[in-house]
This record gives sequence, C-alpha cells and structure tokens, in this order.
Amino acid sequence: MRERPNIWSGPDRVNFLCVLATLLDETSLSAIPTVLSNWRSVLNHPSVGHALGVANLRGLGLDFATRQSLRHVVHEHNDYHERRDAGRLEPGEDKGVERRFKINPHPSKLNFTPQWGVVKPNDVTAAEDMLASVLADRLHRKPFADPSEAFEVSDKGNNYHASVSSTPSVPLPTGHDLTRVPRGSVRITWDDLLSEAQRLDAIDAASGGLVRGNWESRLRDGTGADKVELLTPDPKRSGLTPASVIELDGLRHLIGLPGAGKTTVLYLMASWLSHNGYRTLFLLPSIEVSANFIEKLWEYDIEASLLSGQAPTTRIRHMNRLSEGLATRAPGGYGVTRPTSRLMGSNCALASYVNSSIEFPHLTPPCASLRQVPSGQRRERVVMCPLAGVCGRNAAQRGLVESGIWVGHIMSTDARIWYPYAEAEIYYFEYIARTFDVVIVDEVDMAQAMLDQRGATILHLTGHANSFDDKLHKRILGRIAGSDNTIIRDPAVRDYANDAGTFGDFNRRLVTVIRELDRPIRESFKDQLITTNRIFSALCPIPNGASAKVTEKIMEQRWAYEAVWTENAKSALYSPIDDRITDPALEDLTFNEERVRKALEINKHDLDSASRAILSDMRNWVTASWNRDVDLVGSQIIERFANFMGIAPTGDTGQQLKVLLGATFVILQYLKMAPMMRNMISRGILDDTDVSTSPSAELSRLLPESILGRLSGVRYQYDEDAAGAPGVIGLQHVSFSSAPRMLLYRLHEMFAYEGRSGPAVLLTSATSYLEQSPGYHVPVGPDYVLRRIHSGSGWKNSQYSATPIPDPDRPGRFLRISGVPIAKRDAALCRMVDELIKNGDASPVSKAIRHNDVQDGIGRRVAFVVNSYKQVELVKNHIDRRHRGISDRVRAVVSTVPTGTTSYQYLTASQADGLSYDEDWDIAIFPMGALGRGVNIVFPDGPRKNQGMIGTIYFLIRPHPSTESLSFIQGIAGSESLAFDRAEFPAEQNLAAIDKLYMSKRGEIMEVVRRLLRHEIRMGRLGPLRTPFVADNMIQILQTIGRAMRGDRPAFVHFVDAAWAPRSALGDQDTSATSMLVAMIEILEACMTVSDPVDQAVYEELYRPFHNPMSRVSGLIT
Amino acid sequence: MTIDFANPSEIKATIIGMANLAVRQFDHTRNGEIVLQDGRGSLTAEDRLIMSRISGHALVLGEQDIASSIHDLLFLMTTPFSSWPVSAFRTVGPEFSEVTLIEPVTLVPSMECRHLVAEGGNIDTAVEEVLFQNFRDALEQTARKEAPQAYTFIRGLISRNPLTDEAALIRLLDDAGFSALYSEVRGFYEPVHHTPGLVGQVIPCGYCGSRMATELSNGTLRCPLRQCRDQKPTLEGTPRPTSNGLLGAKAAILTYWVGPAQDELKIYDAAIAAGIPSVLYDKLDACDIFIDGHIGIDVKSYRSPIMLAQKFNRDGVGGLKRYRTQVLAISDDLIKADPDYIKTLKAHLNKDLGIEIMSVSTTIRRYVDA
Repeated sequence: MRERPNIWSGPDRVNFLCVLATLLDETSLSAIPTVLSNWRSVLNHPSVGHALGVANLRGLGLDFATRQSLRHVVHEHNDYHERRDAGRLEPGEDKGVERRFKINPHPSKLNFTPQWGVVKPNDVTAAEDMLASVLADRLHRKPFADPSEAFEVSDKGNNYHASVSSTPSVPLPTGHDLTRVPRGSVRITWDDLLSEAQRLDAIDAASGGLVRGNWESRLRDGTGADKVELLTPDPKRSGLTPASVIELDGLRHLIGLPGAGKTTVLYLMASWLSHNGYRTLFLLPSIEVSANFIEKLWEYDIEASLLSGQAPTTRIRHMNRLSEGLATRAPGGYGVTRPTSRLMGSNCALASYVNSSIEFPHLTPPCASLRQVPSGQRRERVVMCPLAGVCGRNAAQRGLVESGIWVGHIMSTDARIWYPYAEAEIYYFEYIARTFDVVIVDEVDMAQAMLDQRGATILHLTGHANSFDDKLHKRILGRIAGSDNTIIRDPAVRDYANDAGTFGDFNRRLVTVIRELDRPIRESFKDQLITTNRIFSALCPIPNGASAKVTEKIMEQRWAYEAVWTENAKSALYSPIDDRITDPALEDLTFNEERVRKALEINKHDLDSASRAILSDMRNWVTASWNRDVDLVGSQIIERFANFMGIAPTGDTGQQLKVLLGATFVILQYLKMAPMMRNMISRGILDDTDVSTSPSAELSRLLPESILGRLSGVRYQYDEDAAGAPGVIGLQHVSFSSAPRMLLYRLHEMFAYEGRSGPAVLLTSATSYLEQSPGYHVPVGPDYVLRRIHSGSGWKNSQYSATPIPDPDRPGRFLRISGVPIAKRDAALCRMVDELIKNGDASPVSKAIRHNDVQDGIGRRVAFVVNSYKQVELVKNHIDRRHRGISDRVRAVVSTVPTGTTSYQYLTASQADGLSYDEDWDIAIFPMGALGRGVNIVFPDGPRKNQGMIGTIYFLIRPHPSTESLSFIQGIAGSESLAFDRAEFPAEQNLAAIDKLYMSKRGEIMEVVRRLLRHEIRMGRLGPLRTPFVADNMIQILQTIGRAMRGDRPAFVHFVDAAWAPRSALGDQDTSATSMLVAMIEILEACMTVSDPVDQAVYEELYRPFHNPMSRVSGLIT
Repeated sequence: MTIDFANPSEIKATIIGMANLAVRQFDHTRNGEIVLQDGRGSLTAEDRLIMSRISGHALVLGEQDIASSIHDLLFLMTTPFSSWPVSAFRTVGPEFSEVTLIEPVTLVPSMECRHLVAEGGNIDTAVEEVLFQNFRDALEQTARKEAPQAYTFIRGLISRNPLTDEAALIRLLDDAGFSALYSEVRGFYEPVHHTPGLVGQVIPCGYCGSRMATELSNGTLRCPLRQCRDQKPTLEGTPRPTSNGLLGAKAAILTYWVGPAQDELKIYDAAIAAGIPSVLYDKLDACDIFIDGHIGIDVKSYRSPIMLAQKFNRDGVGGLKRYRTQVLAISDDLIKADPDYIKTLKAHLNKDLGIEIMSVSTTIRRYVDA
C-alpha cells in the first residue's frame, strides 16, 4: 500500500481522471475506463502510456473500469458542485476546493473543460506530479509494547478483553528489508547443478544416515553418462537443441517431461541459489508439498521458510492438512510431528500473561492490536506484541525475514506481511516483486487454474446440499436447538444466529416467489444472472431506434429507480432497531435526492413521501413473520413502487418486481453476514468454504480487470416435474471480478512503471502446454525442455478401452451417467460398481489385479475415478452395503474422514500418499483432480519401488461440469484476459480505436460467457467451444492416467460411462461431437501434426505416450 | 494475577496439566479422531492454557517457545524431561528428569503420565482402561467360574505372543479350552505391516517377540517396549512372513501388559522351573505373580522412584494386601541405571507399607532360588 496524497477527496477525486485524460491528450473521459482497466497492451501503446499514473490512481481506489461506474462519479461530482455553487451543501460537506473541471455527464460524451484561467491551480499541478511520481510505502506506525508496562488485550470481533501487567523482555523481531533490489538475470549451468548434486551427496555420506538422496545418480549414471538432458529451442526455432545453461531472466517457461527429474532439478536449483545468496521463492502446488520441499532443504542445512496465508481460515486449513498428514503416521497423529510443524503452531504465548478467565482468541491473536498508555503519557496507543520476536506462533513469519529461500503456494503471496515484521503496510506479492531475485512456479498450469478460480466464484445460497443456508441451519441453528445452546453465551454467535434465521427466512420468501411466478416469467429468469440493474433495464426498456438523448434519459431513470429501491432496502435491513421505531419521516434520504428528482422529474415533496412510504413498507416486510403479512406487505411494496415508476403492479412487470424484492433482501442479508464469517470460522462454527476467495483489493488493483469486467448477481435453477412444476429451486450468488492469473505473467515486471526491476520468473510444469486448453495452457516459450534420455517405453503396453456396461434393466442399453437426469445417476453408478466387482475372482476388478502388469508376484491396484466427493461416498457406502466381503479392502478419498472403526478405509486428499504405505487395499475411489500434483501413490520399497501402485483405472463417469461449475468459464475469461493483455495494437491506432476494440472484444466474450452460464455444458451443444472444453478436461484425465504410468509402467484404462462413446456402445460411429474420446484423439492428433517444429517436438514428448494407446482405444467406433 | 513461571510449584502444576493434556488427546484419538489445532478440533481451552503456560516457562528465561504447535509438544512428550529445551522442566526435580509422558514407540501415555493425572486429582478414564474392563466383563459372562484362570492364561498368552497369527491364536485358545473368548482376545491385536525395506517379512524383537519399529531417520530397528530397549545390545529375532495374516498386539496392550510382563514372566518362569507353585495375575490381577501359596509380588517399572512412592502414598498397596508376604519388585535395569532407586523410593514413602522392596533379580534369588 502506498501513501495517499492529500490533494482531492470525495466528489473532487474525479479531477484526477480529468488530469490523466489531459495527459493523454484527451478532452473526454469516455475512454478512461479502458485505460484504468490496467491492460498492459493498452498502457504500453505509444498513444497511451502513463502506466505509473494509472497504477497510482488504482491505488487510490479510482479503478473505474466500467462506463457505468464512471458515470456515477461524474454525476456525484457535478451534483456536489452544483449544490456548492448554489450554497446548498450540508454543514461539513464542503471540501473547500473550487470546481476544476466542468464535465458533460452525457454517457457518449463525458467531455470536460478546465475551469481555470491562465494560471494552473496548485492542486492540479500537484495531481500531475502525483501521476508521474512513485508513491512512498504507507507505514503502519505501530510501535512494540513496552514489556515492563501494563497493556490491554482486546479483540473487538471476539469480544475479548483482558490486561497484561508485564511480559519478559525478549528480543524484538527484525523486519523485512524493503530496500533490497533484485540482482538481475541469473545463469545456472548444468555443471553447477551437477556440482550441487555432488555436494548434497557428500553431505549425505558424511551424515551416515541410511536415507540418501543419491542426487548425482538421478542426473547421470555410474559411467558419467547423462540420464537427463536440457533442451532449448534453437535460434531459428527449427527444433529443440541441447542446452548447458538455464538462463533466468524476465519470464521463462520450462517443461519437465514426465520422469525427467524436474523435482530433482528444482531441489538442486534451490540449493545452488541459496548457496549463491539469491533470494528465491518457490511456488508449489500446495502447502503440503511446500512443507515436504522445505524439510528436504533443511536436511542439507539450506535455510528455507514457509510462505503461507495467515488469515485464520487459511491458517486453520493448512494446520488441519498438516494434522491429517500426521494421522497417516500414527493413529490420530498422536505423539508424532514433522519439522515444519513448528511453522504452523496455533497457540499464542501471550495467553499465559493475560489476567482473564475468558478463553483467549488463539486463532485470531491480537499481535498488532494491543493498547498501552506509554509511561509518562496519558493517551493510549495501539501497539504490537512484545513477544513477536520469539513466540512460536509467528515462527513462519520470522523465518521469512531470515531465509533466502521461500516456499509456498501461489495464493499465499496475496497476504499482508504481518505488522510486526515490516514497518510498511505491504503485501507479500509486492515485496517479492520488488526485492526477490528469482521466483519459480512449479505445476504452473495448476497454479493458473487456481488463480482463475479466484476471479469468479459461485456460492450456493439455498436449495443445495451444503448451501450456505444449509450450513447455517446445521451448524448454528440446529446446534443451538439440539446439542449445544451454550454457544449463544457468545454475543457474536447470538447475533449471527439471528442473522442466519433471517437469511433462511428471506431465502424461503424468494423461493416461494419463484415457485409462484407464471411459467413464462419463471423460465425467462431461470439460469440468468439476476441483478437489480438487469431488472430495472427490463422494467425501463429503451425503445428501438431511440435517440441518444432519450437513451440517456432512460438510463438516468433506471439509475434513479435503482437508487431509491436499493438504498431504502439497505436502510430497512441495516438500520438498528432503535432507528426503526422512529418516524421514517424524520430520517434523511440515503440516496442522491437531487439527481433522482432531476432524472424522474419529480418534486421534492412527492419523492420524499414516496420514498419514505417505500422504506416504511420495506421495514414492515423485513419484520413480518406471518406468511399472510409477508404477502400483504410485499404486494403493497410492489404496488407502491409500480405506481412510483408508473408501471403496472400486475402482469409481467409486477412479477419482475416480486423477483426483485426477494432477490434484493437475500443478497443484502448475505452481504450483511459476510464480514462476520471469518469470526465464525475462527470459532469453528463455519468452515472456510463459505468465504469468498477473491483476490485482495491490493492485488486486484495491480492486475488488469477481467475481460468480463465486474459482474455479480443471483441465479436460480430447477428441474421441472412431469406437470411442469418446479422441483427443488437452487439459488446461487455468482460473481466475476478480476483476472488473477495475470499475477503469473506480471510478477517479473510488476513495478516496471516505477523504474524497478523484478525477479526472474521461471514457470515449470509437465502439462502447461496444450494450446487448445484455455484453463491450463501457458502461452510463454517454452524456453527449456527437460527430458529423460532413455525414458523407457512402458507406455507402449498401455491399453485403453471404452468398456460400457450393459444395463441389466434395459436390454440393449448401456449404463450411462453423464447426460442423464440427476435422479438416475446414482442408481447407474451403483449398478456399474456391482458389475465391476461382483462374482469374486471372476469380476473385472479382480482379474485386473491378478493379470495387469504383475511382477515378482506383486500386482497393481485399481482406481475408481468419479466426479465428486459425494459420489465417492455413494460408491463406498454401496460397496459396504452390497459387497461387504471386500469393503475393508476399499479406500475412499473423502473431504472429511468419518469417525468409527472403519475410519481407516477413508482418507482425505492430503493423506492420499499414505496409500503407498498401506498394503491392505485393492480399490481406491477418488474424484478426478482431487489428488494434488506432487502426491504420488507408488510402491515404497521392494522390487517395484517407485512404480505406480495403481495399474488399472476405471473412469466411471465422463466429466460433465454442471452449471454450478465455473471452471471452464473461468479458464476462458482468464485466457482471453491474458490474450488481450499481451496483444499488440498497431502503433497508428489511437486511444479511441483501442477503446472500441476492447469494448467489442469484451462484448464478444461476454456473449460466450452468458451463453455458457445459461445452459448446462453439454458436448453436443458447445459448437466451436467443444475443443477447448475437451482440452481442459483432457489435462485432468491425462494427469490421472499418468499416476498409473509412474516408474515407466503401462496403464490399463477403462472408460466405463457409456457417455464416453455413446454411439459406439450401440454399434454405431462416434464423432467428436458425440464422444469426448474422439475429441481427445483429435486434439492429440493435432498435437502430433502441428507445423511449428518446436511445438511439434514438445507435443511429441508430452503426448505420444497417451496418443499411442488412445489412438488404438478398443470399443470405440469412428 | 501473573504466574511466576520460575516457581517450581508452578512448573510442577504445568507438568500435571501436560499429563492431563496427553491423556485427553490420547483418548480423543482412540475415538477415531485426529489431533487438530482448529477451533472445533481436539484442543480444549484447558489444553491451550497449558500450552501457553509451557511457553511462559520458556520465555521467562529467554528460551525457545516450543509449545505453539500441539504436534511438536506431543512429540516432545515422547522424550524425557531431562532432554527438553526448556530448562524449567529439565531442572524442576529429579522425579521428573527421566519421565516421558508418552511412550516413544507405542505412542500411548506412559505409566508415569497416568500417575500424574491421578496426582492432579483427575480420574483416568482412558479407553484402554475401559477395554480391559470389557475384557473382565466378557470373562465373567463366558467363563464365570473359570474367569481367574482364563484371565491368567490370556494375559500370559498375549505377553508371550505379542506377534502371532490368526491360526496360532485360535490353536492356543482351543488347546486351553478358551476358544469362546476368541473375539475378545483378537480385539487386542491388529494386522501388522512388513518391516520397511523387507517386503513380506517382519523382524521381531529378539527379547520379547514384538514387531520392531523402524527409526525413519536412519533405518535402525528398535523394540516398542521400553523394557527391551533398555537391554543392550538390541536383538533382532528371526524374521516372520506376513503372508499368514500376522497380528501384533495393539500399542496400549504392548505398553500396559506386554512391557511390564517381561519382568513378571522372568519371576514366574523361574518359579515354575524351580517347581514352586505359581500363578500369574492371580485373582484377576490382585498381584502380578503369586508364588508358593503366600507370596504376592507386584513388579513396577516407573522411571522415577519418587513418583512410584507418591503412587503408593496415594493408593496404598492395592491387591497385594491380600497376601501374607507382600513384595514390590523393581526392574533390574532401573536399579542399574540408578543404584539408589530403592533408597529414594523408601525415603519418599509416607509410612512403612509393610512390604518388601527389592529388585527383580533379588526377588528371584530370595523367593525362588532359595
């Protein structure tokens, strides 16, 4: 965070935009949203520039990336100055600055004219200077508490208050060095890595331990011949050629082919970089993998520390995964630990010094919110904990100050450096981008997909198992009503419980409204993103061929109606109870009254009385408890508002208003509860899946907007029964906000506009190169390819087959899950499992174990791959019930391990590598993609050491992301945003042309996304989007198959769901439109025959082991 | 009021709190739960208070805060206080220095830990206690008249066979006429995995026959029983194949039955060899070995003689009072490690208990060989 210059505030802040536009030689603000969207392609264009100014404005919160938001502030500004000029400002409202610009509010113009004469006012000059200046870091200015004096501990959110009379005097922490600058490009030769390998081997030998890394032997054999080679595109890009140096500079991409030893190279690089004093960050797929990496480095005395999120929810999640991992080493994890446990402690040492009987908030400790009156002074000040330099709880943060090597997860960079460890308010990503030498992102395609997920979120509000409403009932209301009403001793929980009750009530009201709508209206809103703006657009349509003036007038009316509606709804819901019982006539209107009056051409009295009546009705509606009252008051609101708008309170418009009423209060109530969520999580009442995972505002401001802009609203979905009545109505909150994947592509030059150099960034993965995949493809380089010289040909014996199972109930048909009604899927899945495991030794599963790739009498196991944890539980429960004889040899990967005597049959994804050490299983069931990268299930010892334990994979379900999954859309939004950010526009284009291009591109992508949001994604309906959809899925499928190929072994793969190749099952021909298998084969074919020699070489190495067996998949007719 | 973390009585209070924490967490995990640090996990407010107190004892002397992570803390409890990085616990008193609160290989609360819990006034309701009680109940139901004999036989069987297989177990029970108790006895065992690096085989301890555990850091093998680990050198038995459904006694059984039985069996076997009538675990465990019609012997292997004295001061001699001659036998290894063990023990007894206290080998010399 940077200092905020005190130039303009409130409505005058729009002056900054006029100053920026002037610097761009513009006389209108119309293209400013495109400039403020922070696209590199726009800001690097010769006709634009001023990236520093844009960054400074975004830092001030002036990130108006849409015309609508810009118009709003222009109106605010104009209204303020009109009232100021007329002497009608409220007391204290005057900012004391004259109008600097006159701005035409017309949306198609937005032109402005300076309002000064010859001499430019000082504030305008200061603003110009500010736009060209690097702003200083904002300091938090919190001192450490004097340990010899008393201080107060309080945490408002937790209602915790206590005092400490003194603490021991211990060393204070050292803060991060914010002045460090990156050392520039780094060259690591292959010989450097070999030397490092020898050095580590020598350390192993000297330690006398039995566990050895055998580092050198991973890279070359006993005769000195290389086992692994580093390749790079030759200068003419005619193919790959051997390289002896890894040059780290700017942004580079290294593809580590399977079995090439990418992880070994990463360890050796870490060792070399540490040895040579480079500050390096490794971003790995998960905190668990990071912990393993750190512990390995520690074995060689390489100083490394863990970068992990410190928000209570994040910390709890990481701690729990660590605990789950330990539980694979000893029952319940009791009495065992691992070296990195000390970085994930949860107990605060300060608690031993407090004088209070109330439970200390260990999960939200008050490290930087203590209060102390300094000796000799009277005024209390906020101080930091005097134990921060030694306490165990903050060991990880202190470790980061001291360590040259940081290891963590990409999302962990989006966290604020905890106050005691930096004097400035700064986030880790900024610190890293300014001071680090090297950043290495492993499994970058996964990191990219995870970042995309943060840009768009879906929250199930009600009508869905595990919806927010459902959780509130189970975990709060149900708990209070049933087993434990002691939790309401805590006032915060009591308040939250009341809010939860109201939230449930509003959900029921909205569901009732939807249920009672006329079918055409209900269907027209179904699956749509419903926003208040959208409903008012429908209520105030712009006639075809309307003039600009009429259009502007109607848009202004829409704004006015929306303002009156929304602001009154907020007042009705958020005002404290004391205010509600006062006379509404005495309250101030909460919207911009003058602008509304002007837009609606209404006099003050009429507006006042209409608005206050609406507010009064809304308050009655909020507090009504009987259905009859709710309906009565609801109808009254609709009638009153329809009259206010001059539209019919019945028919379509009346029904639209009903939806508006219901949706408005559901959203507002949710927004009311959201800030308290973390508090409830820290009490163990909710879990972190309920919390929005959007990037921080700080990160969002440094990255470009999403090409989709910002969009949020509610959406409802349902299936109709035979009579056409809606079944269960599911309600969701959907939001699109930013393009966080850009972090990967910006980090190396994040602050270039400030003249700062950045770290060299190396992106690495084995599956980050598939051009057709919007979600996983990394369009950089590739600059290096790491290949095993004799990589083996175990894959040649792989066998893939489409093996649909005849439906025992419907002769001539086959069991199918994808594409059939939800109600029928579970039964089909269970039948499938029956057919695969019944008849003991004669069952397909039993035969697979006995015959597929058996060596030294050791057979390989079987995996059942499904789509969700729910399906894992369904299959496991079914086996337990119907196939008891084998149930103790089945392991299920679930989200939460059930307690009881059979708990050993379950494990979480973070425990999955424990399967390697468990001999007593035959079948593992897991959802595709649940097992993290870096988690291997291999024989731990014996003659098959390091070979994939799973040999046969049954894909029981063809992937079929439902409408509740945004992953495909997120990938499209991410890749299109990246493409626009990296685009190069012709030099002769001006800002207006670029703006037009941007708007057109945005409209195009928005149309695609709206279409995808409306319908469940079905192969047959996707048209040109089919290839990217299949490519995204293929990455996951190949990753899963790859698990069975570890140690150069063949994989035996069965595509069981008839949906994989529905026509082939019936003896007919499949095409890429009907079969995902055919579509996958086509993508792989395209990879094998791509014309670019470098791409061809990379694809050949990456996909030949899959293309070969896939192209001869049995059971597929094409 | 601020706690004086340097005060020995506060340090002792913290140790008792730690013992309670160790038992609480153990009970929690025996219910199939895992040790978690989140708000709804296993840590109670009391546990957290104890952890903070440990931090307090460390920070007051400028030492490392080792109690922020419950996992690190529980692991630390598997080491004797004399090796803790917090000097308060290293130096608080000789009765604690060699005490580990959690047995390092079997990972169950130690005898001393349970003693400290009782010392703190808490009733120990560990799952294992309940398990043993269930066993006694089952004996009462299935073999009412023969319950004492069955108890004697089965404890002896398990103590002599900490590693066995299904077939052998059935055969042994059949031969003794207790096949009806199979499911109860089977409940004391669990399947064992092969010794790492030796696929299909398990290396048992050459002394007691238990499956040896592998030290992950260096691959060395060690017996789960403290009694065997105290023996030098480590002795590996003949590897056994896992193919026959090999079973190992559960951790708590190893700690509370098989471990102490090593000395008990020594005395019992010597007496039998000498032709002296002897009974193991007489009258459902009134004493460990009953010999020669009048001598009741209890064997104890507390590391700390002071703690053992405290136990007797608190509980009296228990079932031993039924016997005319009452003997408390102390493991030879403990006396070898601390020649003043018996002297210290006697010095800390509040009153003369009227029992004879001697080492295991002296017991054999005096009551068997003589």
